[in-house]
Amino acid sequence: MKRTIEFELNGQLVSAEVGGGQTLLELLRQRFELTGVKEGCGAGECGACTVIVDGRALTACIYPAMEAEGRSVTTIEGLATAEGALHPLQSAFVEHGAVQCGFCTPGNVLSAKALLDQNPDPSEDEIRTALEGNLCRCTGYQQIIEAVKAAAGRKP
Amino acid sequence: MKDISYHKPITLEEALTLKRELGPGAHYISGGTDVMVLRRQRKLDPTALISLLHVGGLAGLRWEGEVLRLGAATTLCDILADRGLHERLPALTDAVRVMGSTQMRNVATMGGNVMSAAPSGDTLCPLLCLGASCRLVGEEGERLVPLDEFFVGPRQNAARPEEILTELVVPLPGPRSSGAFIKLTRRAALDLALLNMAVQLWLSPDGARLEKARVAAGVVAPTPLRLCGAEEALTGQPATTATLERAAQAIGGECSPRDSHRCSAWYREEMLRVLLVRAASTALARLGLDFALSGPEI
Ligand SMILES: Cc1cc2nc3c(=O)[nH]c(=O)nc-3n(C[C@H](O)[C@H](O)[C@H](O)COP(=O)(O)OP(=O)(O)OC[C@H]3O[C@@H](n4cnc5c(N)ncnc54)[C@H](O)[C@@H]3O)c2cc1C
Ligand code: FES
Ligand code: FES
Repeated sequence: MKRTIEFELNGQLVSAEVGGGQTLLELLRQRFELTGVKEGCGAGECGACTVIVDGRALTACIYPAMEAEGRSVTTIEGLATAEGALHPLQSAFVEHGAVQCGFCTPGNVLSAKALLDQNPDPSEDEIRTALEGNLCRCTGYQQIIEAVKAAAGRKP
Repeated sequence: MKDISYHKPITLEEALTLKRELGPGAHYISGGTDVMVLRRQRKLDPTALISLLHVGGLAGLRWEGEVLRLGAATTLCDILADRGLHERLPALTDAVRVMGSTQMRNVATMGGNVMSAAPSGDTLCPLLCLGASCRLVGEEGERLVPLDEFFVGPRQNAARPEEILTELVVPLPGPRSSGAFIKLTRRAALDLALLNMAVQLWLSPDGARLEKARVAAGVVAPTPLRLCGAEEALTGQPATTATLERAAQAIGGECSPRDSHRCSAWYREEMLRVLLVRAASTALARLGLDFALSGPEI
């Protein structure tokens, strides 16, 4: 049964017709064509679909789209400025070789963003905990950790 | 997948009415980290979902005298955000810290973990050791069910289908008591327990003896289980390594671990004894006794 909901998406108020069984991942990719939200496992275990909802990172593949109603959702498409300037985390990922195939990158950047927004000066342990739900088959993780450390010192 | 309806009641009465009107195909959902996965795996095929996240008063911690009232919709990340909780109920926070991932803890709820009643559910053993009860509200009113009577089979609990868990009532163990939880896994995050264990120990006023002990383990039987043999072997005994080792040997008959693709029954049985000594040592170290912690204290 479909219903129209309103929510904030990357800073803009949007409305969409949503099905009761739809996931936030399906809504973002299919209706809004935000394909930076990746589907890996579809079961909460890889983090490729990570988005930020009301300041908290979560896996959109198992989050009901209906629960986005009235909330604020940020995807990777919402990070760079309108002029195309990268977010400090995105620049740091590029500079530190934290991107290889790139499939896990949106999720890793958003998990890191949720951390830095709450805790601008995290310890390495805190960084590792924030990223523990994001699997990467390529980089070996170390470059990602280094990128987050580097970004932590910079103002967005 | 066929489309279904999604409801967001804001009172318990409204939620119960929806459940009655929508019938047996309607399913409650809180964080959805269990429901949404089961639905995708086609192990659950609800015709409607009734979200409990918007029902007033279901989230949050209330300290009331000798008890902690833990709202069913409290998320795992809210549990970790409360420093007082780690000081007073460390077995519970030990468990929550090693559950799922940051993204999962941001949405998964305490109530969802208890109601799923999985043999590996990580908060279940600490809650059993603390003597917690479930407050359930249903068509016939409200009742308080001790957790000791709540788990009746793998993923089966004693609640009626329409009953809503509103809170967990946790008696506070007091200053002469501490606890610990250990989860045996192959990797640190995003892994279900091969075995998990919680202990809660109470010292005598002079600190020399164990006045009371509770031990519970998961993935050793169809439900999380109190290990009564070990509890008896600890009670009244001096707080020494020898006592802990005797208690480990007293783990017995009630456990029926199985071989699974995760690990063998033999390994589970052996590790059960190891975990008991480690968890009890950690609890005693937290009480200021000269025992080793099983991991870094945060
Ligand atoms: C990636 C991932 C990792 C996981 N890791 C772990 C782990 O390490 N340890 C672990 O124990 N579990 C784990 N789980 C399982 C699950 O996430 C937890 O059990 C979680 O606590 C469930 O909470 P929830 O709010 O998401 O439950 P939901 O999915 O919303 O609900 C679970 C069940 O409880 C019922 N329910 C929920 N709330 C109520 C209520 N208030 N009253 C009555 N019924 C209710 C629902 O109808 C459903 O049957 C994991 C799951 C995922 C997807
Ligand atoms: S696609 Fe969502 S966690 Fe893997
Ligand atoms: S860069 Fe390929 S999965 Fe991480």
